[in-house]
Amino acid sequence: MNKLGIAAAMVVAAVLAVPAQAARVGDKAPDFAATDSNGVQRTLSQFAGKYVVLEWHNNGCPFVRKQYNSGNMQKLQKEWTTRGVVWLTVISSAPGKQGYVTAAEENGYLKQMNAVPTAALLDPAGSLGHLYDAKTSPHMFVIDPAGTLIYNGAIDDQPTPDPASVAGAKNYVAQALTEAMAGKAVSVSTSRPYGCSVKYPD
Amino acid sequence: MNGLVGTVILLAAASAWAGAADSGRLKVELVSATGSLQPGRPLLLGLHFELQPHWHIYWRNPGDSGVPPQVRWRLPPGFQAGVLQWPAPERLGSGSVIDYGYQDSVLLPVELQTPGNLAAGASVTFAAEVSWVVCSDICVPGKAELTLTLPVRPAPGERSPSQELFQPALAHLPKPMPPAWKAEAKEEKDAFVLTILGAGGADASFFPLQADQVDNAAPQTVTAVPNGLRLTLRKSELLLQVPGSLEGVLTLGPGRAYAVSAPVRPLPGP
Repeated sequence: MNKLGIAAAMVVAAVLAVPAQAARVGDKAPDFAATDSNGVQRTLSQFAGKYVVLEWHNNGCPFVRKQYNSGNMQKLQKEWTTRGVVWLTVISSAPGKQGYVTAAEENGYLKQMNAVPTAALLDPAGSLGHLYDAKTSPHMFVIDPAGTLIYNGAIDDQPTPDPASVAGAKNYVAQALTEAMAGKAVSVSTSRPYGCSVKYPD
Repeated sequence: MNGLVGTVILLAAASAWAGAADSGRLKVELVSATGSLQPGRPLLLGLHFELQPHWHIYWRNPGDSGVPPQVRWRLPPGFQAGVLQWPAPERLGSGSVIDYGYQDSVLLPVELQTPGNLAAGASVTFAAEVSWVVCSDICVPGKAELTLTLPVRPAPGERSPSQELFQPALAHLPKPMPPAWKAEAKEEKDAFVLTILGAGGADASFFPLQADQVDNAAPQTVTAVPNGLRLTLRKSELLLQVPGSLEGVLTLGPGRAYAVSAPVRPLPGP
C-alpha cells in the first residue's frame, strides 16, 4: 500500500514536471528544493536577492570534462562566488547511468578537481532537471536577484568537446552576469545548450 | 563499483580523442563516387560512417544534445570543397531529450571543384580531418585523418568500389519542394502551425534547421487538411523572437524528404 502510494505520487510528480511550466527567460525561475552533497536542503527562494547560477553536470561527459580538465569551470565558480554569486552544480544522472554519484563520491570529485560551487545538488530522480527542462551537460541557467531567469543555454559559443576550444571561447554565463551586474540588458540570453544528454531515469 | 565503470569510460574517451580511426563504435572512410577524376569537372566525394548497433552520430541540427561531425579539408592547389550535404535524419532518444541523427550507416556527400590544368595520368591525394561525437548511453568524441587518392583521366568510366553507396545517400538528400506545393506557418501562443499544401502522407515529420525554434521533444501533431497536411510544432523555450520563416526538412516516409521554407505569420501584436 505504502509502496503503491509512493509510486502513484512519483507518477503525479513526473506528469506535473514534464509540461511546459519550464524555465523561460524573462519569467520567474521556478522555486525548487533539493539536497546537496553535504546533506543540506537548498531552495531557490533561500537565495532571494542574489544571483544564482545552475550548472548541469555529469563527470563522465566529454563536454563537461572539456570544462573541468582545462580548469575553466572551476575558474568561473571561483570568480563568481567570490563576487557573491550562488553557484549550484546539479547532477540529474539516474542511478546506474553515467555521471550518477553518491554524496561521498561527489565530495571526493569536488576536492580532486578543486571545484568550488556553493553546493552540488543531487537530483537522481531528475525532478529539478525536468523542472528546468535541462537537456544537456553542461546546461547553464542564470537567475537574477529578483528571481527572474536571465540566461538559459550553453556555457559558451564553442559546441565541441575539443579542449583546444576553451581558450578564446565567448562564455555566455560570464557575459550574462557581467552585463546584468552593470545594469545592462543581457545581450545573449538564450542559446542552444550543447553537450551530452542529461541521463534521466528511463 | 560505479566509480570503476566511470574510470573505464573516461579512459576510452581520452584514447579516442588521441586519434584512433576505428573507434570500435564507428568506422569512417573518405570515399569517391567515381574511380577517377576529370580536370575541371566536379567530383563527388563522401564521408561514409558505419556505426555499431545502438550508437548514433548527429545531423547538422543535432537537436537537444550532441554535435554534428565536422570536416577540415587539406586539398591540393586549385581544388575547392563544397559544404557537406546531409541526408534526412531520424528522431533519436526518448522522453524530454530528443536528438536528430543517424544510426547504422550514413554517407555525407560533398562536391569538389577541380582545376582544369591537371595532367592525365597523374594522381591526386585528398586529406580530410574528420571529428565527431558518437553517442549511445554515453558520448565519445573521435577524430581521424582520412586520405583518398584518385587518378586523373581524360574521360570518366573507371568504377569506384564505393559507387553503390552514393545512390541511396543521394536519394535521401532533401529535394526542393515541388513548385505546386505551398508551405506557410502561423504563429500561435505556444506553437507554430505549419501547413503544406500539395503534400500528403500520414507519416510526416518536420526537422528544423535552426536549434532554437521548435521544441524537439514535443510530439508533432499531424492532421490532414484538404489537399495537404498540417503539423503543430511546439515552440522552443529558447525562442525569444518570432522568426521570419521556419526552415527545415519535411519527411513523408522513406526516401521522401523535402527542403521546406515556410514564411511565418506572427500573432497580432499586443
